[in-house]
Amino acid sequence: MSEETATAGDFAISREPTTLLRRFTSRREAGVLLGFLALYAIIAVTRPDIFFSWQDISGVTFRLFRTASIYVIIGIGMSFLIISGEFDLSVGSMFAVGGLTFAMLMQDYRLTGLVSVVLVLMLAAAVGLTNGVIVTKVGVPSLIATIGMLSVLRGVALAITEGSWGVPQNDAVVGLLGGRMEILGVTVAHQVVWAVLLVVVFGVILQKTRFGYHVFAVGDDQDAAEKTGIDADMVKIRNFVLVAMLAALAGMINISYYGSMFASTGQTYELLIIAAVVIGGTNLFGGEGSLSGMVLGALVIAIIPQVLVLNGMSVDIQELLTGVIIIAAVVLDIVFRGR
Amino acid sequence: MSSKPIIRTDGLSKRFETVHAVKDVDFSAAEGEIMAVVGDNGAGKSTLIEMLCGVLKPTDGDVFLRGERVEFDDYNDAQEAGIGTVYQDLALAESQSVAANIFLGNEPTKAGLAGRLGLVDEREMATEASAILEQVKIPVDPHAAVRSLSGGQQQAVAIARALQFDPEILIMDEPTSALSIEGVRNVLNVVNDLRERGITIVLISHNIEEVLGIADRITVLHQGELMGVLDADDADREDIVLLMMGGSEDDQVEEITEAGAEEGSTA
Repeated sequence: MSEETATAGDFAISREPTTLLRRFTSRREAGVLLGFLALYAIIAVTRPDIFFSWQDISGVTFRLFRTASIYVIIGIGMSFLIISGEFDLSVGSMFAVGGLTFAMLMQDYRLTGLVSVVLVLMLAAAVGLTNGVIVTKVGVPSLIATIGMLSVLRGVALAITEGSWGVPQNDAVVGLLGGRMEILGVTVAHQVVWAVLLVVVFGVILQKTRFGYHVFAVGDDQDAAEKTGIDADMVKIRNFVLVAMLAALAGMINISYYGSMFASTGQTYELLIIAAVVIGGTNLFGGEGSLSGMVLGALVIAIIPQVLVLNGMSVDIQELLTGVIIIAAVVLDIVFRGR
Repeated sequence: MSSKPIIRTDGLSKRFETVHAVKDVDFSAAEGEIMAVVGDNGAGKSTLIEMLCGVLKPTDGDVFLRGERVEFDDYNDAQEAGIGTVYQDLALAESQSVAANIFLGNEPTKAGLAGRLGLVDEREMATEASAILEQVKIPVDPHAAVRSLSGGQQQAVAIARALQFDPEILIMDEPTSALSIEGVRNVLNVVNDLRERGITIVLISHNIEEVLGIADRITVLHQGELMGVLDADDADREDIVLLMMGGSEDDQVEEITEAGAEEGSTA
């Protein structure tokens, strides 16, 4: 073969679907989008009085997008982390600590909103760095390390709420984070805009930059990635820092919107967000995933309680069904991937 | 083929606590030859080549590249010095594209600010990947996911990745062990082609027939020790098996002589 090109047989190429439609329908996102639309359709069928009332359905949709945007902001970091082969169960607590520390710095220490945001992000980065170092350098599994951090941070949140837990509504940064705006006559929470901007920016980073390529490679096969000179530990540490900072940012956005926050806020967010990421097509074992899928997964996770509430289901049933859906999604993911 | 050694070792040893994996091995490969390294499981083949490509540091002994003593801290050091490696497990990220795997860890970036922000020049990466794959005459779509490729094609991608750095020496660890018959034939054709381009190949294998068919010389290891270096043209399967089992070439001569004497006495 030295003077010829190898042909068929063992070197035959398996080609991906080529048309745009076939490419879309072959992707996980298509199924998730259909699932989301089906849930939306349930509202139309079971509660036509609400679905066909512009005021009511726009209220439902506003709440849906506002809730989903919080999941999306944290889900961006969680996607990076899961794609690189780790996960973080402390994001719900980081969310609460972020929001409450933001309030404490502004109320008790009289710092400006901007300075408080910077300090909270630095605190979150330190938490993420701690998680990352414990997991990658000490070798503690991320499940154990971040459950420990979950408890530590929740304790911090409880301690903070003994002081102050509200933010001044007249601060410009608070307005920027938690305000509302009108777009084409539709009221949109600023946090939705933040979520969209962050998805675009981090989507480009994940799909188009060297760092993004390395995130996928490390999650796919860490040994292989390291053999090409990629510092896998550093990739993971950066992702732990990223998810902690985004969780803190989401906490600051949340307290800015509501004006106050409880120490218990954000409990179970870690599971909801991991579910959104996995439902959106990210491989729980790393190496595969997309932010677009995660956004759709977040919308599914956010619409489930809306559908249940509108149909008069109790909170207990909501919790139960949400749990069943999460387990089913992860089990199906594992079955379909053959892992 | 020149007989000048491009790479050699002097008394190379590696201990792992109580295990002496490689013992005082003097290895060499000449410019442009295919030097096979054979041995049974635990013979020290992989440990030897991992010391040559910077994965492991020797406990004792030295490595010389073009006559100069070298020490490698990691794979990248060896790569920069002109030693490429194709690992037995291929070290590929299977869910990623062929092009991404070929340039993994070394992705080309766009010019200007975009490049400084780390944006990968995907068009250039695909074009360059095609060019490298064309060098080894293997038709693989640079956009295809590696997991969609056959074993032979995946091996080709791993070879192409090593070739992007224009290595003078290519170390290949069991490149055909997991391939179909056709895959083996195609990969061995690629190896031959690389030799014709002047690249020195160090081929680790346990397949004696394959080694006899392609190698110029054969280094045989047994339990970490160098048992002998054979010219492939003069060696046969029995010579190699005997050395792999710990016997020497002299033992074989003695056995043949004894067998001849017995035949003579019974005649």
